[in-house]
Amino acid sequence: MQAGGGVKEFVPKIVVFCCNWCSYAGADMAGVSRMQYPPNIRIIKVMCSGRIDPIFVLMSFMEGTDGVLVTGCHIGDCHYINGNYKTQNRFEILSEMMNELGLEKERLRLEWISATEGEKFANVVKEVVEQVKKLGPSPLKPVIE
Amino acid sequence: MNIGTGKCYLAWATDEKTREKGSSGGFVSAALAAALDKGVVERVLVLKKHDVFKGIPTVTSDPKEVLDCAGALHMTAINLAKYVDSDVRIALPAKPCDARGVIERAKRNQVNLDNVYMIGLNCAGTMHPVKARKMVKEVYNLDPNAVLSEEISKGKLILKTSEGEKSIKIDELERQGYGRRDACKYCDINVPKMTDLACGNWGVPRGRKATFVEVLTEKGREIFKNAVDAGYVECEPASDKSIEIREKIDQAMKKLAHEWHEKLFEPINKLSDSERLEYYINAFAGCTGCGACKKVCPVCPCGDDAKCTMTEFQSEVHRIRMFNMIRLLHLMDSCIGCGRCEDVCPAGIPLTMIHMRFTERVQKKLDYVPGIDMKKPPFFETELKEVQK
Amino acid sequence: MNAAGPTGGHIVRPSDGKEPKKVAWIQCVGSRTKERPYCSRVCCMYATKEAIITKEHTPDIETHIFYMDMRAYGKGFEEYYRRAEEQIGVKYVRGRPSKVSENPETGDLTIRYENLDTGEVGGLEANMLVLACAGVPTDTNKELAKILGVKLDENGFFQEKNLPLAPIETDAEGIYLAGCAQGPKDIPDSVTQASGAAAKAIMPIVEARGEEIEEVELPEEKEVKPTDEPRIGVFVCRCGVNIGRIVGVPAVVEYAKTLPNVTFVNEDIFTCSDDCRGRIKAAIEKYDLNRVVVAACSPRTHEGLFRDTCREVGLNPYLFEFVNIRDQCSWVHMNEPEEATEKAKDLLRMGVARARLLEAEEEGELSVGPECLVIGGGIAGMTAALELANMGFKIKLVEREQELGGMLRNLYKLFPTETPAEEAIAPKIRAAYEHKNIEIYTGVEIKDIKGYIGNFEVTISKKDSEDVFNISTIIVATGSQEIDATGYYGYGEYDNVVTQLQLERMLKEGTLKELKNVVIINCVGAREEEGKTYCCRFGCGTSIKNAKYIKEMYPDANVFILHRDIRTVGKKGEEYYNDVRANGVKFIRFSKDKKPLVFEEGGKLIVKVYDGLLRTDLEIEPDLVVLTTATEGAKGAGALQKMLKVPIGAGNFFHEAHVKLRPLDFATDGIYLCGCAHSPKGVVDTITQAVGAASRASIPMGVGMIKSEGITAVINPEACVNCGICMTMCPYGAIRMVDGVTEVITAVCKGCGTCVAACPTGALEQRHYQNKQIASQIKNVCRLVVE
Ligand code: SF4
Ligand code: SF4
Ligand code: FES
Repeated sequence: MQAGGGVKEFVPKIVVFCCNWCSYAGADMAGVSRMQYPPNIRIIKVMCSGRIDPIFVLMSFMEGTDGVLVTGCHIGDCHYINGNYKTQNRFEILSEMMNELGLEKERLRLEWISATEGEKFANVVKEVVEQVKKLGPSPLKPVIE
Repeated sequence: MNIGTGKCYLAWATDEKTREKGSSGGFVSAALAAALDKGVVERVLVLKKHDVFKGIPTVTSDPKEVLDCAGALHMTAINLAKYVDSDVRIALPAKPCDARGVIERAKRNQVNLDNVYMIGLNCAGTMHPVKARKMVKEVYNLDPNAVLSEEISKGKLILKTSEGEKSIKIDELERQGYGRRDACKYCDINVPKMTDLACGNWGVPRGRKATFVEVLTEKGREIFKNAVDAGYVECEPASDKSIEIREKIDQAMKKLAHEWHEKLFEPINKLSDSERLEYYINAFAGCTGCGACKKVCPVCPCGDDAKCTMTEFQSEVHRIRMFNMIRLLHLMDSCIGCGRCEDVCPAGIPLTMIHMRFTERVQKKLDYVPGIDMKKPPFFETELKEVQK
Repeated sequence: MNAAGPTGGHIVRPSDGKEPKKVAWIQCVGSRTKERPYCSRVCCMYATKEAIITKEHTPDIETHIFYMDMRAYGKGFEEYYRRAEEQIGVKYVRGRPSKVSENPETGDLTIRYENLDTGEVGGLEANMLVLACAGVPTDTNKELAKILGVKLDENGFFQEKNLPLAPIETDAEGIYLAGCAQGPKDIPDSVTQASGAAAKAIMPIVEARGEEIEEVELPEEKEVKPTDEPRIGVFVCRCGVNIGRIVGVPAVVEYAKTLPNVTFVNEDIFTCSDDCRGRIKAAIEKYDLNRVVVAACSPRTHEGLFRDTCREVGLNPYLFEFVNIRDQCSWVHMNEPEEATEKAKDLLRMGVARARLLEAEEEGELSVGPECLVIGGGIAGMTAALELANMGFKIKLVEREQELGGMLRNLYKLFPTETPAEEAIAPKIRAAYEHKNIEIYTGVEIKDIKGYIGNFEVTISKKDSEDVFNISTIIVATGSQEIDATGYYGYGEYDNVVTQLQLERMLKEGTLKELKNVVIINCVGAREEEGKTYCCRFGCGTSIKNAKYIKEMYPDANVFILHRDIRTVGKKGEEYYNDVRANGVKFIRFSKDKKPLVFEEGGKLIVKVYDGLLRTDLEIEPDLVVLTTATEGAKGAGALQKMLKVPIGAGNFFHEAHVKLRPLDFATDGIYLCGCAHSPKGVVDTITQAVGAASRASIPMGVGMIKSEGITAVINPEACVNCGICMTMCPYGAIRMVDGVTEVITAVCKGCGTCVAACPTGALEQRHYQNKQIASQIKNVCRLVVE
């Protein structure tokens, strides 16, 4: 889509990690309710947000995504009791790592989204995409000649 | 004498040779030997002197060998934590970073702390052997191989050769870019409060060949009492004055460390966020992925196959290797700043400083300091914690 | 406030759709009245929750709750209530409003009320008012009761057979009660009772259990090794027009053909239809496909179907991968067909990349024998044991005291039915001893418990002998005890200050001497700022009941109950309270900041309390002060917790797996919980829980096994350094260390993968969600290198 000559418009790519039980279902709900959101996200499903190794987030950035959204069930609703507690704890450390790296921390977001919160899912995606568009391409994006 | 936990003493080896050889009254060697002799422990881990620039971690059950190793080695940089095999009861002399390494390893089930007796040593820092050799040649004008022994006294590093001795102020050495390793310069944990016995010469009255000993745990008391009962050691209670002086020196050292911290971190501290990212990308650009930093890291429990070494694909396009990123991540909550990674990095990346930058953030945010107690690292936490933003 | 509701989660006034600035709640509307004397049990917490959410939604909204007694009696309720008041800033006013009037111009409301704590009369202006109306029985109860031939109680709820001893049964054999049918109750209590009812209902037909289950014949699975070259079949669905109208399906199909290892690509209108699934099966066979990717709707609705399709022709179901290009693509990008098509290609590429690395996985089974250990021989333990024994399971009932009976051995009569405690336990003790399926151990300690569901090894010790046995499931019914009241209100200092338990004994033994003035103080050491922050749930009932007995024995005695709220929540509780109040027991409310004082002056015991209504200090010279103390988990709970590796919380009460949905289970499979070991509670609730816990334990034992999915964690022992990090992560106790070697108990693992994320070495992998599988998806998001 880079028609002749003009400045290439920045089309961010954002990885969204979803847990099987709530946030993935929330994303489905957004679809079922035909909520429209920008097409920049790519969802990767795991069973529980607790499976999301912070390494996956780092890897996403190293591979060139411009933002990462980590999602799971609301606190107290995790299908595996408290997987999301661990997600939250890891996220605290991870976001601090982003800060230190000097990568804008707005590129990484954690949200709890229930199976019924299709609208929330759509809204969060909208916000993240907007945010990331403002920030521009990730400085960690590989430079490929 | 009735030796009690929480109390401070002056103690010295009864054996004159050990007293002379030891850096301050030979208490540590004598107590270790006594522990072996009387079966308080089954093994002792010591640094066996190869030459002044090299000590070899050695596990022994021979009290004589322990006594032979009396005396500090300031120009080697080894962290003993990785050499602690705690299948049997074992004692070791532990600098604060040795001890912190042991404790972090215990949290990762690599060490059974019940079996480990740590005789802590006050530490103001050690030197990197390669740099030290250079320093001996260029600042002392001596042949490094001719140096027979060394000693630090009153802020001076004294080198002895067959011709005599030569001493230069450490401040002066450091002014010339030598002296202690950077990690030591800004390390502010000088008194090993996390061990069983904290020993050192701070607080020892002038002219006395003795060690200031603080008994920190029941285990420490056991070692101390055993050494006294077995006749290896004599002691007297430390005076209030001694205690005060030791505390003052500790505070002074801390202050100095903080000044160094500011100075050494300046180049990174002054960068903006985006500049910092460039800095890190450039700093890590030299990494060859040799894995030496991981091998020496006392906190890392992993073998050769670990997430950091195995998640290594498409690195040619990554701006920072996944290896470096994962190590930064995994040490975010637990780096003890011992400086070993920096010591061994062939690319000369200031790794410890970088790790400290990351670690200090987490430690501040989550109010957690690694290696000083058995508190769970934040990464192991399974409960929700209120985080002060 | 429901995000999926008509206002999308915004709180607006029905009258003009404006957001209110001030919302008020009035509690007990139509309940605790002459007409409906009972308490609806849930509204105090509902109002609190609503007020919290309202404040969280819009922090500057003011929220006021008018209440009579704040009934935060359940597990964690008191703490929730306190958080609302102290941290969130919800305002609570004790008092029943007398009048609400509307300002016709603004639509605002004025609520006239009297503050019962201060005696002040005031008016509150609010923009919106929420009424906590009484929970009433369903209209159809009457008819249903007639059809079933069971009775309703005077309030129109179904009548249980016996309160408190048979709260689940009705008078009719084979008909049982669950949830609010029997009386208002909250979710955990409903779930509990429902579990119990299920156990009761199976009893008459227990012999026939499992007889009619049919097995399906499947062809043998063909072997697919990870090293085999992947041969992928891609099936893109148009879902009628749902996908095809937006996503350029033909382009996606063409793109699929360019992806590595894709052997066969097909496009269909409805991939899930029978004939299309037939085509998938045919393609698998014809092209020898060893992976199948369907790009269609959501795995949440259709994954099972396609997995079965694969399995039906001998392909392991885990070699199937689903790509969602409808719910998460065509439906949400309806105005961007081009981008949607590109996204579909990306998603497909990610899916195919993952599919290439998929491996065949087996589902595990673990047999569970019919033996259960019940720890604790009180009413809870005995009830659970008998229930299971009647179903034919073998029970070992272990009690640390020399006798069965637990706490109830010390009690006189039970609230609110005045059933003698003896009557509650004696028949159970007898039945337990007589039951051929129950083996009773009294005077023993549990020394050690190792293992997991189906395989627990238990060591018990009795005096100087030890005994080891194997069992399959465990029910924890260790009960609770009064806290040591020393230091509270002169207890331990003055002889005439006693605890409720001491009073019960006196009542039971008939040793209570003549009394003139009695003061009962409630919430002693309970509902504290720190430590025992919880409510003991039965204390109010106990105090009221015992006050009544004293009054009956010595009608001239003045009996005072000093309380903070009266929390009589169970069936008949409220009615009992009203009776006792009508019969002259005096209730004086004190606040947590103005606790009563007990001291001696001139050799006389004096109680001083501030009466908010009279706005003055009262001094009473009692000849007996009775303390209703907090309770805490039994002595051995801590040790047991370590052996079972299950969580324990404030006051040494055990933590269930989920407060609302799994109140009787531990997260760890095969261990269940009932009675006061869970949280303080009265006899009705205890018995209900015990039957419920028995029901839960009977499930795996009845089926004879548990199954695990093929997504469990596995350890590569070569790389594992036994750091044990994974063990601390697992909420199910599915990882253990045997002789220094870490292993996953596959049947217990639920496959969340939390441990895998934490393992520093990568030795731990989650099947079907392996690190490299997820990495392959990440790698293909940006298509840096097209493989
Ligand atoms: S976390 Fe990994 S390395 Fe550590 S014990 Fe578990 S499987 Fe082994
Ligand atoms: S995957 Fe989850 S349930 Fe299974 S062992 Fe790991 S943490 Fe436990
Ligand atoms: S299952 Fe959704 S966060 Fe754990």
